[in-house]
Amino acid sequence: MTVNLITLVAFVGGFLGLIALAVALVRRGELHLGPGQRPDDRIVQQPDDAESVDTYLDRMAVEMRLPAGDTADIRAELLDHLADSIAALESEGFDHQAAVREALGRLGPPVELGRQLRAAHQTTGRLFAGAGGGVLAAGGGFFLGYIGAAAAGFVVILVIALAGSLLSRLGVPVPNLSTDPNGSAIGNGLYLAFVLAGAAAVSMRFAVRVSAGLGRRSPRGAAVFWAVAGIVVFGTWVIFGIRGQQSWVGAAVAPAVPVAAALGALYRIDRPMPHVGRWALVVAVAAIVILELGIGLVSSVAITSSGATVEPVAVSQPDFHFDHAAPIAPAEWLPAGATLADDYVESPDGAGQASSYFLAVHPDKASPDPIPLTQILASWHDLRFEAWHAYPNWAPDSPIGVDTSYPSPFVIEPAIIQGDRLDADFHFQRLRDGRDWWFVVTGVGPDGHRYRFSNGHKGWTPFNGSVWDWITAPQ
Amino acid sequence: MRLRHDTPALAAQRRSVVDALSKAADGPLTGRAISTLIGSSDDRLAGDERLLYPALHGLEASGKIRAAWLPGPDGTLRRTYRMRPLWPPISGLSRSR
Repeated sequence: MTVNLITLVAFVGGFLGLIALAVALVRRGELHLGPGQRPDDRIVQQPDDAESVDTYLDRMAVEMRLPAGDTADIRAELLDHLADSIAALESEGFDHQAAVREALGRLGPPVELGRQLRAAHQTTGRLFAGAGGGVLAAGGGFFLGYIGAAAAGFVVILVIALAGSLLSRLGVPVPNLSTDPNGSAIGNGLYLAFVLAGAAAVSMRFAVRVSAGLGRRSPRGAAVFWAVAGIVVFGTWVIFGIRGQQSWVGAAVAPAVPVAAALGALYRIDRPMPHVGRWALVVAVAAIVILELGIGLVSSVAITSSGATVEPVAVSQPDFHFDHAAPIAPAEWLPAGATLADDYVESPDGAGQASSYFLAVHPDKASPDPIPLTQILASWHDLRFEAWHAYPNWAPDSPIGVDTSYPSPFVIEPAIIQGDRLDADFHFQRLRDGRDWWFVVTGVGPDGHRYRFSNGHKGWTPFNGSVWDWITAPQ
Repeated sequence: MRLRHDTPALAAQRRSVVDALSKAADGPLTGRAISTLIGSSDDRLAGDERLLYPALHGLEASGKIRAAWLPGPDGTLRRTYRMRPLWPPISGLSRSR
């Protein structure tokens, strides 16, 4: 318990620390991307027949290609220099126009000066600082955007649920946004895409502003790089990396994440980000409050709902439609007491191993050795596990058993004899419509017809894979 | 003193800037004041104003000098430079950023 608490504190502290670091980096970068430390408030008298100071500085600024804040500072510094030089030259006897020409001439061609200043500012060290700071800011921005979008998405869900409830009371049909007719999770996919899109957008915006500010690059230039990087990284991640339940709706909205990353990097990226620290604090506090209150509200509703009294219902043995798969094997073709027991063990990733073995196949009670499986099945061949679609047990008023609307099993695996049991591996988690299944073991008997040995085993395996796995799934 | 991509003239200008700032006893100097100090020397190459600000900004980017906006005689902020103090790292002069 203590270790878990320490781990929790370390994780939360790490995330908050990364967010704080990202905010600090953005604030530092904004110093170079903002309006500059001193505006161009020095007025230099313009000559009529000479290249104006403003034109000179404009041409220099175009060639510098530095962030707005640095450009403004350099312009202000050179304006001061020119004003002092012009005044000094006039005191030496130059007329004003000649003084301006001389002062500008001493600074050299504006294009060359701009190029030299760009080389002075855009050093290799600052390039690495911008790249490293951008990566850190992207990480912190992702977590900040994630919790903010999670809270915003939660509010949206509550609003939609409230609206849906009101419409239902009014008799208006409301589509099911939680699951599709096959039971695939739509709501989870939509919510995850919404949250990740918000996180990706904030992440890339932070990265662009920090890398441009620390690297002394134009935000537009840095934005192109980060937009491409965001599309590649987030696109790869959401298509191939994130595994879990999927749906066609979720697969359709997944590309919104890399698109949001690109938009976050490119959309009006020249605009300053004022009060980043204040906004980060507001978003973090609001997210925590909303999520805490929301989870508490949902929990209280669930607890209240669970208090309802459940009336006992008389249950009769339903028809499981096992004969739809195959008729039961005649008892005379199997040893006495040879009842097949089925089992299914699922691994954490959703894959499973089906096993079947014969119970109580002991010809002599005194002998502990059962009849070998090969001997039991000597007159049988083509033994296999058949997975049939089953009626979903999550749907209300649904029949139970093998779904008779399917004429054939959707997965057939040969039964491998392993000692005293039959084995087969299934990967229902990689099938789009393998959610509810019922497997039986069948074989071709002495009369050439296929029979089943038992009533099989029922299970429920949601799809577990990436969006790419979902799209390329065989069915 | 020479950095990557420096021309000999720019490297000379850097040396002259550092010499001028090292000898400055009146505290931080503006670019114009540094130019005046260098111009009074006999080194015509180093006194070239065309390379003054690339040299100043390059030295600041490499961390060899500090820059700050400080109020001038008329009260307006002027960008000034001084040598980076060995200790304390920042004394009496805030960093420009």
